[in-house]
Amino acid sequence: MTLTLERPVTAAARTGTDIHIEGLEKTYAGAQASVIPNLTAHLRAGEFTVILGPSGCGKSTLLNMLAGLEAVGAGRIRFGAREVQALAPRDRGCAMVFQNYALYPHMTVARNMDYSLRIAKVPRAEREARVAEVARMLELSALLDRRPSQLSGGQRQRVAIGRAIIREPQVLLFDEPLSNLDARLRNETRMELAQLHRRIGATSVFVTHDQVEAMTLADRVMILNKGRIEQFAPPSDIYAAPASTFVAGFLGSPPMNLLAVESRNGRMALPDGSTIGCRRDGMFQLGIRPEHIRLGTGAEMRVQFREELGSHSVIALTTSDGGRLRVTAPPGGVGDALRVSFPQDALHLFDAETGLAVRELLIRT
Amino acid sequence: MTQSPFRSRLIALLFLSPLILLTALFFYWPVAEAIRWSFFLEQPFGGGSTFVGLANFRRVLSDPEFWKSLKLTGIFMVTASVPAVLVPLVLAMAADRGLRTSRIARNVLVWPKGVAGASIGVIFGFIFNPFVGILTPLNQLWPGIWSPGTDGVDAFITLIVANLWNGIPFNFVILLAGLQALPDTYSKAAALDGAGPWRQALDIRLPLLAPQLFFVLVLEFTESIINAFGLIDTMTRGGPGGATTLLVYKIYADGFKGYDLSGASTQTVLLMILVLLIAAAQFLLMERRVKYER
Repeated sequence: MTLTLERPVTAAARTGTDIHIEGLEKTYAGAQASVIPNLTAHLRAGEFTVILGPSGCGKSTLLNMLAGLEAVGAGRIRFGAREVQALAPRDRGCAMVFQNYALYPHMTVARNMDYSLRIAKVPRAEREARVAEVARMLELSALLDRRPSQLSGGQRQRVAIGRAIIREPQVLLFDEPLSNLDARLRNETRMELAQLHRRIGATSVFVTHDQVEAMTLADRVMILNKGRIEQFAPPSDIYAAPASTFVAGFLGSPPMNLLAVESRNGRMALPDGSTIGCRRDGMFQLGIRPEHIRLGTGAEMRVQFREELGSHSVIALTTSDGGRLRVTAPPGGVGDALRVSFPQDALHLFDAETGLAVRELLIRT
Repeated sequence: MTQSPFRSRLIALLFLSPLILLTALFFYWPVAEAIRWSFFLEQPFGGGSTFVGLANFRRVLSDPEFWKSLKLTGIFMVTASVPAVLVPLVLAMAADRGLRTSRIARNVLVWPKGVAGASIGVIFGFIFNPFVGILTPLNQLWPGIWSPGTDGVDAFITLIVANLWNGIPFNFVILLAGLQALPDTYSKAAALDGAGPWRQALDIRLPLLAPQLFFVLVLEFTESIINAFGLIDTMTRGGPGGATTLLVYKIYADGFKGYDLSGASTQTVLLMILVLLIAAAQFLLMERRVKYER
């Protein structure tokens, strides 16, 4: 599928709206802990936000509350100047793409897409024009009379997207829409979604547990853990400076190495044999990404095992205190041991107690 | 077909034999007998039968009483089946939406299934009794307005209501199960598309429930023709003046009161053909429309 349309979905396409989430809280009846204890965030107009987190972190609950499919426990949600947390879904002006597409099985593709327009009593001529335009954009024109059961997974996905964008929503919500597609199709659809977002300009909120989707699609990624925001920043910032050990361990493939280190008298001994100055004494978690570790110099470590990935290989090493260190290396065989050293500017430091980044404590020379 | 789990077909047959025996004894054998008798003239107390060809059919089909009861059967089939599907449909939709008291209703609505048709007839005979039943006040206001013992229409109404009451549990269970099997993402998607509860029910849930609706409608059509016997026998005995003598009751009356075994058998065969035709017509006309693939 290629998107060849030069102008927005329709001439009247609106841009998105700011989403303000203030003190949002949600506890399910009978549950002891809150799914979302207290969440405040501002999603900018037209921004593509990816909510990323492990299962059970509250990301789907948050999305459903934005859509109006779940009641808000406490707090406010504003779309622009409008408070929407008490409104029914149909009065909020959002559209949603569901994980299993949720296409109406008894309606044709065209009917699936224009159902919302029929409810809104849009005149027939305009309905048909909009269906034709969205269908052309998503390359569904030949399939308009088919039923969902006659479509492939990728086609169903596109119908679901078409159904969502045909109303030109101010807020576009995605609930893990790519997880039912196979790997190749997921890659394609991901890129198309990014282009589509730029064209439509709606404020998009995309829930996923796939970090590649988050990194590639997002203007900003909101990383949720137990209903709390661990970090809300552009993907490159999250990669370059994770705010906590949770983020560090969650993002990146393979994830960042986290090693227990201790600082005494202002110096910290590192597993690669070097030392670095530290402004505070105590226990810390040292972070370093596998791809940032330099090979060939420094401390020698035993090779535990090696995963060959074609473009590169991932090697697990045993540190002197028995911990595991992953490094990425050019493809090809290695011996029983490797020399590794940590470039100072690639080091991350986290408080051992809170897990929060304390990068500024390092004195790099 | 997958590999049979039994080493020998004989073992499989052995397990099936009780059911085969019962079905053969109480269904296929009587059916075969009825078909045979419809071509013979049978003595009422046994002792000889004469082959008469199609004479029985000629006699029955030229009898205005037969056509009258056939017409009544048709009227009953439509007027009794439609509410017996619509009322459970409304109840099931309400229960599915989790409206107030739906938890209690879900239990209570199933209980009538445990009551035999004849018992229902006795109960409704009391309920609709013009002197002690619930409609007695009507007769005090307008004497004679409610009189199922003498008014054919009133008698017919009592049958329809009793049949409805009898049909609610099963149809309710089937329709509710169908509704609850629908993934709730359809409702969510419709809600986001702007549909309120009514539109969601009409545009999404009702069409998706079509297979179950079709199923209960087919069953209800055939059941209303055949199972009305218990109700008629206990409530109206075919009266007044033959106003509730549906074909199924006429067969019983002709055969066991009038001792016309051949005529009753002939009508039985005709009734079976009618039921088959109706079911076949429903499948031909509707089945393709109600099917959809998820």
